[in-house]
Amino acid sequence: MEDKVRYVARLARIKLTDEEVTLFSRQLDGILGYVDKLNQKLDVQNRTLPMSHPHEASNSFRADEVKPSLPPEKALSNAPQKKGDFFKVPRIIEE
Amino acid sequence: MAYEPVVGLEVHVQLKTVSKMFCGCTTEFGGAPNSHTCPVCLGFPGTLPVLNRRALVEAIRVALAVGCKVSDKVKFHRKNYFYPDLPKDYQISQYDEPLSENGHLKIKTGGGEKTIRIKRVHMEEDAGKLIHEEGGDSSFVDFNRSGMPLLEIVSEPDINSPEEAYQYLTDLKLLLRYLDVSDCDMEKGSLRCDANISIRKKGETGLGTKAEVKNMNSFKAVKSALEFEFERQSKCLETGERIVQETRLWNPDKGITASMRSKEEAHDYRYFPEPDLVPFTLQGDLVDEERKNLPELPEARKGRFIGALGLSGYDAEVLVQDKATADYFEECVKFYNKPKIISNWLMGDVSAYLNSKNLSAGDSKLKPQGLAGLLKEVDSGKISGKMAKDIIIEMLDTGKGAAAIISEKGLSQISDTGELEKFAEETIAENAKTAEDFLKGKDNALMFLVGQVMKKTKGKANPAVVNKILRDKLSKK
Repeated sequence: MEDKVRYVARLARIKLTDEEVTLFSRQLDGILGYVDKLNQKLDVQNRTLPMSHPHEASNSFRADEVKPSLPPEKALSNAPQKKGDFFKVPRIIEE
Repeated sequence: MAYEPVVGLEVHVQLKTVSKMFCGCTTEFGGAPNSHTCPVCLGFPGTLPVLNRRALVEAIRVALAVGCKVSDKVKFHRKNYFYPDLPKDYQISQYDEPLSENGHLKIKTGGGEKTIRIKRVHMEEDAGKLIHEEGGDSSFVDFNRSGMPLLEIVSEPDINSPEEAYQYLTDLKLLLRYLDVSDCDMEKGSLRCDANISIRKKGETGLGTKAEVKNMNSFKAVKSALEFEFERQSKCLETGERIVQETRLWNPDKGITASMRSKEEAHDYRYFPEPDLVPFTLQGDLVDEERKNLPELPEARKGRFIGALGLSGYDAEVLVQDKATADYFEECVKFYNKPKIISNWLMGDVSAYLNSKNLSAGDSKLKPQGLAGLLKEVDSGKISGKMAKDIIIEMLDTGKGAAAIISEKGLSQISDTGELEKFAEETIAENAKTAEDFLKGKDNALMFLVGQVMKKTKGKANPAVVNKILRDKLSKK
């Protein structure tokens, strides 16, 4: 479990201390163990479809119509760094 | 050892909508940086995406046109990864329940028709655009493209040469044009292609280790990149070098692919259902309606041009390759029912002119009805085919009608026998020896005399009439 926690933390760019890894591993073990009871007590193989949404609504569309966009200065107003009308980020290039 | 390439293509097509996939920002190309953005496509917390119905309808049209089975239930997933052009840190895409699967596209190859299976056609949103500072340590992000509606069309690895890849792309693009669902403009990024390529010994059926090739911005580049990659991998096998699974970038300047030095860690996108979008149920009406609304596709149209309009296979093929030209042709046939003659003019003088000006048939000042009018003038004998060739240029330049140009320039052909007889007599008198030759049986001599009369009339004489008059006069000699 500790390996999994470190792996997921790395994917999510979360820095964890060793103590935190131990703590979260124990907690997650508990949670997953509890959910795993479903596997032991219930046969969901053939009767229950996986649920991706809790409610039954479907087909919620919008018409293809243009609505006003934000003025660039407003779109950029929360940017930690900008240059002109661009968001500025550390150089990312794959060569 | 003879090897063959095994290629699968992933084509991304930007759908033709006026607003983005999940918000109302415009899809117009080329606005000032970040001027087509809003809280949804900038990925602000708490915003909710709502699917553009038009995008879904267009996606269904494409799926149906390539014979895919459209799912009854469509779900969106989040594809999670970090990259500065992706403001939400996930892309809304489709995963285990895509829009449609299991289609095919028939392509023309040197050896006849070949069926390329299509694995799936699914929808996803586009990311923003990164611009790298030359020599600096910053990159700049423009989110105008963020949230544009895309269709991903994934083929099975059924393509076995760079030429087949080129043909697949050409035929797919033509189909998309007929469906009117995308501009298919590679320069504007509305059509993009990545290729998976591996090689194997000819006759084998297994798959080797593949490389994914990216950064090809034309169909020709795809062909060249695949040619290079086939050579490279063949050399690897011959020298016993191991082929590694990797992403390679095409470098158009050097004409090579190079390994993209990337994180060792394999991508783990942690797909999970997008909770902000409810599932879509496509049973019944929506799909049936689109199936009924599908336009006539290139293959069917070609068949009709041959069968119902009597064109040759070659002519039909050329006309169908450009939708605007084929539309123009059909419109013209409505006014002048000689398809073969129209096709000759369209593929000859008209397309030569339009190509030289970089115009599409749809932009031509000479309208289909105008071309029909000109061809009728030729049929009536008022002008010769040669005169028509000059007149058509002026019609293409100005959009004026044939009749107007003919009367303005006094171009009508002289078919009046009386007038032509005078010229014929003169000509015979001036060329007594040639006339004699003709009477001795030299048929060519008559052609010379016809030419002389044409010259006297500045090309305005009706050659058929001149021919007849000369023959009559000479035979009476």
